Parts: sequence; C-alpha cells; structure tokens
Amino acid sequence: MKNYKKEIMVGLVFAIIVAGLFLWFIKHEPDAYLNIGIAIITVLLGAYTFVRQIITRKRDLRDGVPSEDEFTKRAKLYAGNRAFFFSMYLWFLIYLFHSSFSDPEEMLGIGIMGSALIYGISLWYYKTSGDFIEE
Amino acid sequence: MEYLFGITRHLEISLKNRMKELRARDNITQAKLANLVGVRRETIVFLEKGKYNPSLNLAYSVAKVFNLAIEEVFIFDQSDAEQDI
Repeated sequence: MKNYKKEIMVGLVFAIIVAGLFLWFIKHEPDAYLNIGIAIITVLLGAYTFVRQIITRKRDLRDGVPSEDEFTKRAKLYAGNRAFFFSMYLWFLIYLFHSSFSDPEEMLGIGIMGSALIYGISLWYYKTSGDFIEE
Repeated sequence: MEYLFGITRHLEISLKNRMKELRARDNITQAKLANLVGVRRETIVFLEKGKYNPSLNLAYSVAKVFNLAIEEVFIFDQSDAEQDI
C-alpha cells in the first residue's frame, strides 16, 4: 500500500474531477443523450487511466524501476513553471470575457479545468520531449 | 563596447556522451543500465539522445557502471561563442 501512495492520491484527485464533470454534465440538460454519453466516456476514461497507472506501477515495482527520478522531477518542475505562465493568460482572457459567461461557477470551473489541462499538456510535452537543456 | 551593442562573449559548453557506444561494448541494455543507476529507462533514452543533461550524481553513477571516469563518458565540448543579450 505504501508503494502505491502516489497512485492512490492521483486516483482520488481523478475520481473527484470525474465525479464533478459527471455531475456537471447531468445537471446541464439531464435528458440529453449526448451529455450522458460524454459523462460515461469521461468516467470510463478516468477508470482506464487509473487502472493503467496501477498496472504500470506494479510492473515497475516488479522490475525495480523507481516511480520518479531526476528527469521526471525536472519535467514536473518545468511543466509547473510553464503551466503557471500560460494559466495567467487563460485567467486574463476569462477576465476580459467574463460577461459572456452565464454564471460565476461556470467561469471558475472553466478557469480551474483549463489550468489543470494546461498543466497536463505541459507535463506531457516535457516528459516526451525532454526539452529542458539549460543553456 | 560589446556591452553597449548587447553582445557578450561567453564559453559555450555542450555535453556529449558515449553511453550508447559503451553500452554496446559491455552488452548492457537501456533497461539494465537504468536499473543499475536507479533511474527510469526513459531517462537513459533522453541521455543518449543528448536531450537531457544528467546531474553530477547520475553522471558519476553511469561512469561507475562502465568503470570509467566521468569525462571519459561525458564529453564537455567547449567553444567560444558570441551571444546576443
């Protein structure tokens, strides 16, 4: 259980996001099949990601591979830095177009989800490109 | 004068390595090397491609696996270069 601490934490965060999205989709037009379909796909995607992460970690533990090393730590650091930078622009855009949102909850939701998405994309970019050679 | 024109001379150091060649010599796979130095295989891939500069600890560990000194595995290529600031 101790070895899976990170995976459980990530899983919990993911479950909260997925549950939030599910409720949001259901709340907005509960009769619409499209929204229910999107909600189900989101739940399945979240479950798949969580299970995949657990399987990968189990394999890593068997092979003696660390879940994190200096490369992944540096990738997280750079991704965090870049995500913060781009999130500023996102929040600035939300501020500029705040009148086009129907309610403040929607505005905040889009801002938070957008920031999370930007971090996810940044992390994926740095983990796959390793593009952080210091000059 | 150089300062006024925003140009500074500095020593540009790029890091190259012989990890791929040494792995082939010792018949070590990327996964095995990663396991020996305690990192993930992806880190070895990026190191070999020259896309990632290792920490001193990691460079030392890698050199130790090949029974060589750090400078025999990681080559510091120095060139005097001009850079706009």
